Amino acid sequence: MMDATATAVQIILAIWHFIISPEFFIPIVFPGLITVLVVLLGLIWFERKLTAKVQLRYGPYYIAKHVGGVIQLMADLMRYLFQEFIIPKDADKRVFVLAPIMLFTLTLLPVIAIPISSTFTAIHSDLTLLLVPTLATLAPLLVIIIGWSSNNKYSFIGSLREGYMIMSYEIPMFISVLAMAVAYNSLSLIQAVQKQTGIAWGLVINPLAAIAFFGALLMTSSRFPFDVSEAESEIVVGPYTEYSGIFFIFCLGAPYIKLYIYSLFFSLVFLGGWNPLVTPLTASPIINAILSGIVLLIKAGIVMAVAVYMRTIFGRFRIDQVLKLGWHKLFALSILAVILSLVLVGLGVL
Amino acid sequence: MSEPETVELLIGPQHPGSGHMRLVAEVDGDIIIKFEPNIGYVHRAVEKIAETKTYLQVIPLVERPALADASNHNLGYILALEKLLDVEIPPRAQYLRMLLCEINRIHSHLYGLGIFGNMIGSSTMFEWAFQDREPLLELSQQLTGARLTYTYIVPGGVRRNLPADFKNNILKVFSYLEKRFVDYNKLFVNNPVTIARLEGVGVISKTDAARIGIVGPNLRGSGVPYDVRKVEPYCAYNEIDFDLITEEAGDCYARLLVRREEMKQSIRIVRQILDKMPDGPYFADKYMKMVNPKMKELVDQSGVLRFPALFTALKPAKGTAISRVEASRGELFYYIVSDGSAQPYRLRMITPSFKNVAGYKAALIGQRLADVPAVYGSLDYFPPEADR
Amino acid sequence: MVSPTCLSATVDSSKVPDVAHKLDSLGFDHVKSVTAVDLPEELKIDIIYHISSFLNAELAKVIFELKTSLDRSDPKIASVIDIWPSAEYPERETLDLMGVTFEGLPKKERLFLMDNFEGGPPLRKDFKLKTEGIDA
Repeated sequence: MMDATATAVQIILAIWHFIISPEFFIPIVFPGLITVLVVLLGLIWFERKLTAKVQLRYGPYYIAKHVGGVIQLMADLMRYLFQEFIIPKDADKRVFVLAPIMLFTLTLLPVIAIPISSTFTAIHSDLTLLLVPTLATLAPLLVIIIGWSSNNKYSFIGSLREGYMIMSYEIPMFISVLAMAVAYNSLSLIQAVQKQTGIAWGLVINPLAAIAFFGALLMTSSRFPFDVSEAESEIVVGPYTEYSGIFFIFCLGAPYIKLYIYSLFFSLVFLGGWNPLVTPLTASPIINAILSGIVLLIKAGIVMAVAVYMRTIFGRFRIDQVLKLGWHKLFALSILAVILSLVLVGLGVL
Repeated sequence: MSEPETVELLIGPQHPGSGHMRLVAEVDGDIIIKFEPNIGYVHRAVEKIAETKTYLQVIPLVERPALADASNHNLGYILALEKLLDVEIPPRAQYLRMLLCEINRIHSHLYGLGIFGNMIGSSTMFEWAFQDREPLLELSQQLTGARLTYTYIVPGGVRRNLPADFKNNILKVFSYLEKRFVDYNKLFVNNPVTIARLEGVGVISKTDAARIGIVGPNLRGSGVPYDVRKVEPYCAYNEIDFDLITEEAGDCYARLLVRREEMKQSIRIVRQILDKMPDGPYFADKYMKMVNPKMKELVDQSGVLRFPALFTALKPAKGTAISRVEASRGELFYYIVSDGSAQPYRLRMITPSFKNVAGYKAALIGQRLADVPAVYGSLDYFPPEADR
Repeated sequence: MVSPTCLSATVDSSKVPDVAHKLDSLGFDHVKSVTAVDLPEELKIDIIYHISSFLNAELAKVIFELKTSLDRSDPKIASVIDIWPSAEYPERETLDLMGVTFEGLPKKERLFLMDNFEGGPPLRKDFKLKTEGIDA
């Protein structure tokens, strides 16, 4: 009897240790899959409520009246689950069905490289600063495949526009990451945050890189004014025109997940990471980890809220104007950011 | 054997950016090389049905094509009819007609701005413009009894007198609207994305605009100073002081600016109308004498007209008559052929949107595909009005 | 009774292009409307053009009415689209709804009616409208 309870307790403890180990916790619980779903719910609700308040109307109202309609997306999800999924006759069926699923999961992939505190990381590598943007570049290719497989002229034009947008934001993004790598003298996210403690946030050290990266963040997650590939009044819904049912939610949820990942990255590199201001947390390791996670989530939340707010202010650019903006302004800004970083390192400030 | 290099896109009726019509665009890369609007999806045969209805029954028929602008259409028809009827309109009725027409002009321009904002992607402009129509609908309800299509202007005058506290209400609405115009400027008109999207897009030169026949703010946005209220003043427009707004550029942004300024001029006109409103009857004596005496008491008490029995079978003189008014979207032209019976022999209605269809081709050849909604919003094209 | 700012002229249908050229050279630069009136008792269809000017401030006050008559069994007239491009859509509408042939009009597709519309031109007097529920 003693043996049975002892082994049962051992098994439960083993499972518990497995769950709170970083290799499982980060990709699945926080900031991974479960947090992503909760954040998706909250972010879309926030966007709809904020937009409604600016536009003098109510937004989500009836579903859970007491809390202001927070679970509206759950109701929408229920409805989409029961909707008929139509596959067009001339579409490439296997790709048509598989591509949104891969899109939804691959946009989530970079989260494995995000550290929550200086000791709690899933991947023990000193290249995580480069790894996150690199893994994030997989997703837009799937959008192009989605647009091609639908066999619809509007989807095709939408995926072409997505391809053009990739060319206009990826290079400034990588060059501004390079600028920060030069400033922090390392390619590891943990070192990046540690370099920011005691001096200042990355935003203050190199504001040019921050602006260039924020512009790239807006472009990649299709926030207004860079909503070009899903421009409703010109090309219906762009690459996702032929989708209905739950796949439509996959397709439209993917930009929000990209926004979340990039916001986490932005708050680690430019907003001081898991330290509340510039002083490091000094409590026991477990409480450290929990507080760091909360602080990181709050900072990412602020970045996401700012990005979502752009919807109420701006219209939509044209694709050639986005390309011009990306190559004239953002590219030049990111090159200047690299020069600024080199100057700061050369002067011995960092 | 090479594949064709251009793509033919049907921006058809099931499209968020097309309205009730089809635009066929042939696109080479991103540049439009051929463009053809295909209209007629909401043709309701107004001209044919008018030949089977009495003259008074035609009024709701001609109002319906342009919903936001109904009283201007109503006015054009009645002005043509009254040339065949030989009746004198009292001055108070003229001013009341102008009042409702200018309220409709602001309403229609707000509607146009809302659609324009939606086409460019600014959903906030869409919501704000559409919600700011609500005070104007309330005012129309107080004046005429209906929110949207009024049948207010009848042969001989108007149907209702001015309500008691109408002047205060309207001045409150105007001060609210003037604050909102400042907000619109900050949000939409001076927004850098809007300027980038609209400036230099869809340019129609001055001589082109006059020759292809586009009308209204589109014509004035290309620099032609033509407004029927100045060229051939009807009702009492020659006693009211207002500016003719023109812009020289001829692009989408110029047309937006013309509409914005015209709303302010309409507010100015209504203020003068309320100050200068003459006293007197609001319906011609010639027909008032024919109203049943018992009905006459009701009319005097309530300020709401009851028609004389003559109106059920009004027979104007034999002949033809034309009239033109400045509706919100442009110049509206009526031509009535009467053979002396109670039904029109031929009613011809040329609506401003029907003339503005020609503007699509002139503005869009050589532009990019993404400019189609921008030009659509700037021409303020309304398919039911064009198709009648 | 005609409005005082309206001038009127009635010409033969073959003379319409010459008159149009003359009016264009005088400064009348657009067509406001092309109307066709069906007169079955007199076996003719009347075509009335209303012409005015946008760019000339004096002529803008004037509406010139140009009337002509066509044979009802075979109504044909030369199009004025080369002189006044603004006549394109009214002429296409008259072709579609009244069955009048305009020679020189490049596009002959239907404007308002469906492509498979059966029956004669609807605006003519012998096309009776059917009321739903009563005789349709």
